[in-house]
Amino acid sequence: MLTFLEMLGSRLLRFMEEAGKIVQLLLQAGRWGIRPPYYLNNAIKQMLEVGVNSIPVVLITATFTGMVLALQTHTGFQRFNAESLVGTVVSLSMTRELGPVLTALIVAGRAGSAMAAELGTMRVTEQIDALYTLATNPIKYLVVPRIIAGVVTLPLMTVLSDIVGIYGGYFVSVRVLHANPTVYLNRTWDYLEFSDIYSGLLKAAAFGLIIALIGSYKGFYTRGGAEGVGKATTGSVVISSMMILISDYFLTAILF
Amino acid sequence: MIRISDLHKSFQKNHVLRGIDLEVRRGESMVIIGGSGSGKSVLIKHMIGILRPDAGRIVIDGEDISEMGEEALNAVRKKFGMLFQAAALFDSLSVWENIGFGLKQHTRLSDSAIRRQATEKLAMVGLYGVEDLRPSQLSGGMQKRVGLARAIAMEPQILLYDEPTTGLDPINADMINNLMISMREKLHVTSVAITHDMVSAYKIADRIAMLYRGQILQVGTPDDIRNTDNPYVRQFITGQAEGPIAKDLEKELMQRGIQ
Amino acid sequence: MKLTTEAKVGLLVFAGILLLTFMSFRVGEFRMASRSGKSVHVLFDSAAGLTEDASVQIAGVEVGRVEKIGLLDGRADVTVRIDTDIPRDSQARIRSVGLLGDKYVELDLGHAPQSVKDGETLMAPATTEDVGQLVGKLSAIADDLKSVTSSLRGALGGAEGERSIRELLQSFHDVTLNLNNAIQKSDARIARVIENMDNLSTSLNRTIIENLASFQETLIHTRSATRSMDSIFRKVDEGQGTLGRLVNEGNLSDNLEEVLVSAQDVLGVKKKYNTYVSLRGENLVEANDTKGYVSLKLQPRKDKFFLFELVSPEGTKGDRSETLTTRRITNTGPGAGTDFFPTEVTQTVQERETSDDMLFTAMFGKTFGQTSFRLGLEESTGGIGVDHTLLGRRLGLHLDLWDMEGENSFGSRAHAKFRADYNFLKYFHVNAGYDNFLNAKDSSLFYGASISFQDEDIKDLFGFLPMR
Repeated sequence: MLTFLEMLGSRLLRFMEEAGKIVQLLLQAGRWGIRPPYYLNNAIKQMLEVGVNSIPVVLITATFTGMVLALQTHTGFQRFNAESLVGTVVSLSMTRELGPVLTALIVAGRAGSAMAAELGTMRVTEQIDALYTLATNPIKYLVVPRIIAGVVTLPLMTVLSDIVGIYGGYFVSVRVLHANPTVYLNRTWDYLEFSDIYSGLLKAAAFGLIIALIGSYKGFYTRGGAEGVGKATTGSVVISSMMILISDYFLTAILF
Repeated sequence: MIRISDLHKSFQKNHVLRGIDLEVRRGESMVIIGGSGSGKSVLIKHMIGILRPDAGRIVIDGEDISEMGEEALNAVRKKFGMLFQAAALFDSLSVWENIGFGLKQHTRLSDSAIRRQATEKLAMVGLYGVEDLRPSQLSGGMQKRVGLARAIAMEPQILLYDEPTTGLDPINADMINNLMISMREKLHVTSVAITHDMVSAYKIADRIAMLYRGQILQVGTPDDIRNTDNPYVRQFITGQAEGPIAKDLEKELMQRGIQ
Repeated sequence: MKLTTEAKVGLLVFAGILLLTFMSFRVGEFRMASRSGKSVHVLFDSAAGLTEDASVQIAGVEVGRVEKIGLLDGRADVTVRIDTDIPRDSQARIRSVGLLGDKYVELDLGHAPQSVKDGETLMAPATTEDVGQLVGKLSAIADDLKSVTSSLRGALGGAEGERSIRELLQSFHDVTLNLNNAIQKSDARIARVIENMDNLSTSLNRTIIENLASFQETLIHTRSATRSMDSIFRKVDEGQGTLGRLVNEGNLSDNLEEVLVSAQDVLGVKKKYNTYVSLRGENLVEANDTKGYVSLKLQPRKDKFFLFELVSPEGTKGDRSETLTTRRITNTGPGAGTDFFPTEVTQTVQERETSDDMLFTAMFGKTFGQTSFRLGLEESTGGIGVDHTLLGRRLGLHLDLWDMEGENSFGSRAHAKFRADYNFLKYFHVNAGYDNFLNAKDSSLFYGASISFQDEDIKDLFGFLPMR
């Protein structure tokens, strides 16, 4: 019994310690990020990694999500003759929820894990220590550009996935379910408000921060050689996915 | 040049450094020897401020870096060059970018000037035409040489070597030893090396310090060390399986077993 | 051609911003943000279901959007932005379209030659019958009563209308006398009384609404309304059965309640508005006088009410109505300005005035917990009051201050009155207090009793008075 409590206590303590370290890393990144020099090239390189290279998979996911949303809502709304609202449902769901969250989950799996693996490798091969010896702060050199890339590119990717999701839904509704294209588009845009879009983008930016921060944290504090890198990688995906979904709820509660 | 006094460092419950007192004089070559887990790497990382002490002082060139802010510390770090055990070259950068990293960060030199400097440094470590290769395309010995080239790129006053010969074949290891000696002669740097390779230690050291369980057992010239009375140092330098170090280890393992 | 890293990232940024701009201009809100056209206010009794950005249509064609929905004097102030010119007398109504009942504003074009201008307010006709309308009507009653009091107040203030108002108040007095008689010895079926009351208020209301413009006319009409009230009570007087018997047989209130309940059943109304009606008598011991009150309290919200009271005149008994009046006479005749004929003479005249005017109270009240504050017209002069309830609202303490100049009372200080009111049985209260205690000469202890109905059923009756 006592050992169980002990275990529970130490688990809790470890969790707290980890949370504290993540926040500390964020604060340090903030502190270092505002001071010159700015590693713009690193940020752009990370944007390529987080953004451009993730585009195909994000676009495919978003298109099919929009398509299946249209199919599903059509089936439901048909039962009370409200098929005309399918466009509204698709556009609202994509901009407010699915666009940001799906993009974030994909990027977390793709780029967040890559960050953890890269930084983890740098840690275990002492490259991070080497940065210190070259009088370069690794948080500034490695973490800040990743966070910037995450915060900047996630909203951009979300805009892309919003659009392709909406037009994926449009394609299915008009071509497969023979909805009136004009009515569909009117319903899509008339009920959508700018706040729907920008709150989705704000969410995406927050998710970008989470992905970059967790990926960096897991990599930065990797221990235990190649095995440690593997653990850091999976850990970063699991934790950032969970944090995306949890924070999604709270952000939605605050923003809407 | 480097003065360390009563340095303590723990990782969780593991008390790694237990009161180190050590002085490295300007221009001398200090070699710290000790077994695995004796705290050599931790000690050398304290000298350049990668790790911060729990207690004690580290004074570099009259400046106490033990409680220095990160910015000021970076200025002190520019006096150092460090060669890591596995070279620790940046995978994402080419060889010349690795060597020129410090110059790129801290000077306003153009890329072509940096590249020229890199070529020069590579020549000093005996490498030619590898500027545009990736570190992963080099052998272990070549990586170490590039690492050394990177360490000397900023023309440091102090060079730190973390197990410079470990993982190399004897010929490559000796070449690295020669390079270390020539660096000292050409650049007049103070150097601190940690190693458990006694051949290397005798060859490059002005003085040798024996580190055991977080404490300095003995400091002396290679001859002093060779003729030591200390049974621990004797067991280590002769590389015997039997001796006081082994007994301590056995005792510790027994205790852990009981627990 | 191989794209550089920078070019690829640049393309992503560019595409993202381009698509965001595209979306921004497609969404409904942003499109209307082009502030063209004019913004017009429409006041609705209820804007239930209407949302900002809802469509504004003429004959089913969209001409604008709802820009803002606010609150103005308890009504919905809907600001719409429209692109076309519409006549000034156009009317707006809220209608719904589609299965899900999306609300929109439909404009019915009028015929006026001028078009409505930016910032003007359009008429909204009575909305369709719904629950919310009851509330609307009730607040309209309050408004009407307010206008009655304001016109009465105007009448009292005007020198010319002085005589008319005295006549009017005399009629009122007669009415109350008849009411007294009716209660004491006459009878009528309550339903008939109510019906007559109904008619009365209708005509009263119509009179006032139609003639507010002409002050003199208002007075005449009000007087005729009062006369009709008079005749109503005379009818009551002459009717069969006695109210007294009703009271004797069991209790009046129960019977009244029965009628009200059955009325409610017939009408099938739901409660929305709290109404309190009470009849109160006070016997002023030292002043050897009596006072009667008929009061109506309308409570649209829990923390807000309107109090209307008719107060029988003071000094109907005894001869306490003597007063000293100080007059200033200005001499402008020949020889004025000399010592013998000063320009100004102060004359003190002892006058015997019988203040047999009916007094009128109309106050607005605001409640904070157990304490309420009242402000308005009290016994035909400006006044304030505080009420505090104790013992689970059974004991009420009331402090009133009115007639700040001390004109109407025999003293020269404001008329202050303290009254404690205890509800000992269902509808019955006893009260006691100290009247006009700031003026030692005229102060008096008093005691009395009252019947009050805080019956929520009464309000249903009011809800169905055809006020408009």
